[in-house]
Amino acid sequence: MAEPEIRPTALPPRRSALDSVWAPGLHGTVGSAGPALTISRRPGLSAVQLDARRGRSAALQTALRDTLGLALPEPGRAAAGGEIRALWHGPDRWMLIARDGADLHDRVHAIVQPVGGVVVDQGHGRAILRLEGPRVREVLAKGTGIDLHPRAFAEDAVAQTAVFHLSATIDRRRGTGCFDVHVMRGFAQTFFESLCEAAGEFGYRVA
Amino acid sequence: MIRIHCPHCGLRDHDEFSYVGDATKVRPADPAAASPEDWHRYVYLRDNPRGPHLEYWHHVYGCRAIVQVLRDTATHAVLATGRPSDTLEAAP
Repeated sequence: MAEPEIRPTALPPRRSALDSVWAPGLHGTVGSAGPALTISRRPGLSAVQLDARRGRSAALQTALRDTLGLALPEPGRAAAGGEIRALWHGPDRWMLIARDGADLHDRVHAIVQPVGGVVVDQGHGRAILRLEGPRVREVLAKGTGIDLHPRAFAEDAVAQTAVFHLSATIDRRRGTGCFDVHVMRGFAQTFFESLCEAAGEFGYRVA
Repeated sequence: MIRIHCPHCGLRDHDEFSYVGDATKVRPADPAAASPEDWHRYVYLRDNPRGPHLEYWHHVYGCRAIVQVLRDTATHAVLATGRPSDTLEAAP
């Protein structure tokens, strides 16, 4: 049976799930050294989930490497290729992130569909926060059991886990000292409020 | 506290998992030929052993995969973990 061609329908423009609670400025107990954590949003990103059909993982990885120069990462890792960042999400499953305008869904779909890959647009489904500052690991550690010490969680390490009891993906970015945390859009406010509560004692800046 | 070694993600807290059930139950090979008693045994009847028990857990906050766990019900010690297709044996 031929595979049905499923085209994404036109969706309304994306809006941040955090508009109503986002209060830029300094909050909490800010010491003389300044805020120990900066929280910012990462707007303007496209995201697709990529799955390999049974037994098609190797062919899919070859296709993406040959066309986009993107080597899909090993379990627990992220990798960048061209303008796309790929995060391991599970067995034969990855999340691909790129700037809007990179035509992420259609480009990847065209490459992987013939070799047994499936992409699902997640651009409206996720909120991504960027956390940076000297106390970022202490703040995150209040909400997750993942060992975030650089020895255990190196640059480009990725963990799908629970943060403040919410399903989240932690992505330690290479060379920047910051962490990107992906949560499902519907949980973004809860996550943000828990994060602010955890960061209050150190002082934090909402960018 | 139980910590489960996910075969995909590594060692994680059991908070990240949800218990699925007894992994020793085998679905009747020929559903049409199975008697109501066979189905009753497969769907409902469970032992409640003290000691090693083979279970399925769902890594619902992690990789979303089903994993097999050999757990001692008396001590909560996790004796072995693996994929559903693996044959688990407790480490000596």
